[in-house]
Amino acid sequence: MDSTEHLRTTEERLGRLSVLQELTVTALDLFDPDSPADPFLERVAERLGCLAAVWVAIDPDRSVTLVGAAGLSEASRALAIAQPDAPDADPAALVLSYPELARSDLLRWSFPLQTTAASAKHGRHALLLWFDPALKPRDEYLPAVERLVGVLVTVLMHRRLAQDLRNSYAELARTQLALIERERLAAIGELAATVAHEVRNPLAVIFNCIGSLQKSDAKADNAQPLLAILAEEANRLNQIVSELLDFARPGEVLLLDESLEEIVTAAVEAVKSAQATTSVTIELEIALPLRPQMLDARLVRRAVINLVTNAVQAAPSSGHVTVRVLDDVTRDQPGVRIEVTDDGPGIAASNLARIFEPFFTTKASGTGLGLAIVKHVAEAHHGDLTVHSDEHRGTTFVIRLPSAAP
Amino acid sequence: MRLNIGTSTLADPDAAIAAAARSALAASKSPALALLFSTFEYAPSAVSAAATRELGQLPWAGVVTPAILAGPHVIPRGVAVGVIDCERMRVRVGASGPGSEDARDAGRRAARSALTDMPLPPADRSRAMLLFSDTESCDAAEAVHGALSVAGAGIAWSGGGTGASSAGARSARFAHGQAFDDHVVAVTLDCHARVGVGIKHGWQPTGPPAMVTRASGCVLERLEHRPAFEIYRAAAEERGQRVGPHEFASFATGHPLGIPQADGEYLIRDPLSVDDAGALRFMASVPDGALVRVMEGTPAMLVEAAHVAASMARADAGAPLGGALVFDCVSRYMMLGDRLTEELGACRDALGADVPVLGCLTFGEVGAFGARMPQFHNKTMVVLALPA
Repeated sequence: MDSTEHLRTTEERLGRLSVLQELTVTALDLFDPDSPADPFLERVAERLGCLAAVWVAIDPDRSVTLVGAAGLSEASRALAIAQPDAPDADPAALVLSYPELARSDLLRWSFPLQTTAASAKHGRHALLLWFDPALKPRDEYLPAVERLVGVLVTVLMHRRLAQDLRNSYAELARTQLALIERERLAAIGELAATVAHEVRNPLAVIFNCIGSLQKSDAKADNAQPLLAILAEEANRLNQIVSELLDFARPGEVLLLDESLEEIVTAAVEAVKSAQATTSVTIELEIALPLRPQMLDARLVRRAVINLVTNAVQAAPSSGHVTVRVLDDVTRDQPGVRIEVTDDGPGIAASNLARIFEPFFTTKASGTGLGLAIVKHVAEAHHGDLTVHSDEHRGTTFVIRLPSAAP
Repeated sequence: MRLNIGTSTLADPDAAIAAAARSALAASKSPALALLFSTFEYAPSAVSAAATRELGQLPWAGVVTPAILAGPHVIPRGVAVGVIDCERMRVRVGASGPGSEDARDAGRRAARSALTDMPLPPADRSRAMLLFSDTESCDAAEAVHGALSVAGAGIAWSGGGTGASSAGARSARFAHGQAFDDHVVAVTLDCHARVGVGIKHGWQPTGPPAMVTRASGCVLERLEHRPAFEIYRAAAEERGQRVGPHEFASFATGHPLGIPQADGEYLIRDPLSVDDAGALRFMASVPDGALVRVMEGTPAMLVEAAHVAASMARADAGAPLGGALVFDCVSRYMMLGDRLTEELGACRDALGADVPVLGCLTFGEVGAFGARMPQFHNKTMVVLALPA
């Protein structure tokens, strides 16, 4: 080999090592699980002279995702990727539907990016490189690319570990929040129960006295109105105490095959009776037949009464409250939803985040427990309570109750 | 297909555009696209208004350039209109900006616009995309990446950047009858036969590789953990030259940086200036972590490269040519001077003397080494060969 040839081959080798060095350094950016793979793959494709560089992941459920790609058109990225025929299918075959890669004469290099054990647990990842046959890469490239793949294997492992760690931290934070919230509610509940118990005893005495006075002969003309006021206020106190106890010690949930239609109808009628003097119209729409539900009738009735009562109070004079009951098909798990909508002034955005907190109220005379109880009821049925409110246009509360509770 | 070219050096933009456009259109039976190049002496708005009048409904695009390349001639002051005459060609022009805010997104949207209603052509047809961006306001390499993510590799990529004149006159890119200041312009050509593309710069590495240890966009701050300028100074001293910040520009003209590719090619980055901290500013981004080398070249090497680029384009097309578009870096002109005509001659020798050639000087070039994965180059010649 003459010196010119020797210089040329040395330069070429130096070039390849430089490329490998650059790509290895660039790959380190991928240690961050949030770091997109596209820029790295663009660099890989540019430096190696690929037509396309694609990183695919095949999950254990055999769904395929593009972790990143370079050289693919937007049309190809948008194409749905066919599922593999078998767990050991060649991942490269999955993307042959891409128009620019559909040519059968393209040279393809495919590299698995995981150990067999990791693949079994997490699914498979592969780096796929396409080369134009007219510009076929020389075999000398391959060792350099294999070393790069070795780096990517390590990167992938670190990405997964970093993601696992991040997920664990997030889960821990959620658990801590839930724990704090549970402890807070438990403390509130204990206090509420104690107060309610202490108040209920003297209340019983007051009721007895009122009863005795009403039966006594001392029926002075001016005594009856005062006794009526005393009885009304004592009833109000009793209601507050009942709410406190419902919230603090809701008792065991008894799920039975109940008719939601009957429960909601009865609850709405109860509110109509209690609010007989109001000019607010209450409409009930039930989309029959409803999916069969396992329910605690007492709790659901209570929840509906609370929501409808709130709605009536929020609606303007001559306003409208609509109660809808229908099958819920908005989520993976089927169920039913109870929607209570008013046309009142809506809830201020600053209050929305707090309305489900116990004792939070914007009313002058409320306990602030009504919605907290509704939320308890929904969660006791493995469902949830959500709210959507537009200021000046009204509010809708939705209880979702899944049919098959886990 | 035939590329019909009209040029004019009249001082009045209306008259110049009218003369050039009418000459090119007169020879065309089924004009599909017009490309317009004008030098800095003409106000871009006047050029776009005149071109819109002359070209009517014909799709057209173009750029303001330091000089026009037309056949064997270099036109430092004038306008040129190239009409691609082909009834079987489909064309669409797209533009998007501002590139200064997000160059990648501007490139993406310009390409998307240029691909509207243009599904990938069947295998017996060929696609080319011309991309023009503003190197003054945006990182043109990012604009290329954005366009690539929409159009994909595997098509014939070409085009270039625009920049200010030495007197400070602003450049412009033309599309949709307007002159854009800060936009990326993309043109899609779907042809009945393969469009060839060739690219070559002629620069050779010298000295050892140096690792980019800190870079931010177009600014290369540190090489091997030292101020980037020191590497240049060391490279110059090895050649017995003393280079300070004041001599940097002239030394850098003949000594760009090269980023190695696996096939032995080097992607060129053209240094423009050095700041007080020793950081180098380039015409396009230099990636962090890259191993770069100082390059060198001679006028003869650059002329030879032009011949190679044109030969590659001709061979890639693989059929008789109806014309060729040439995008040649303005900094090669700074090095070649009057020998630019030699470069053009080498190009025409390779393409064939009867092949109409139209081009312009660019501030960086769009093209792909080998497998049509486009990159933004500097100090390079890109030739697009249009099939007859």
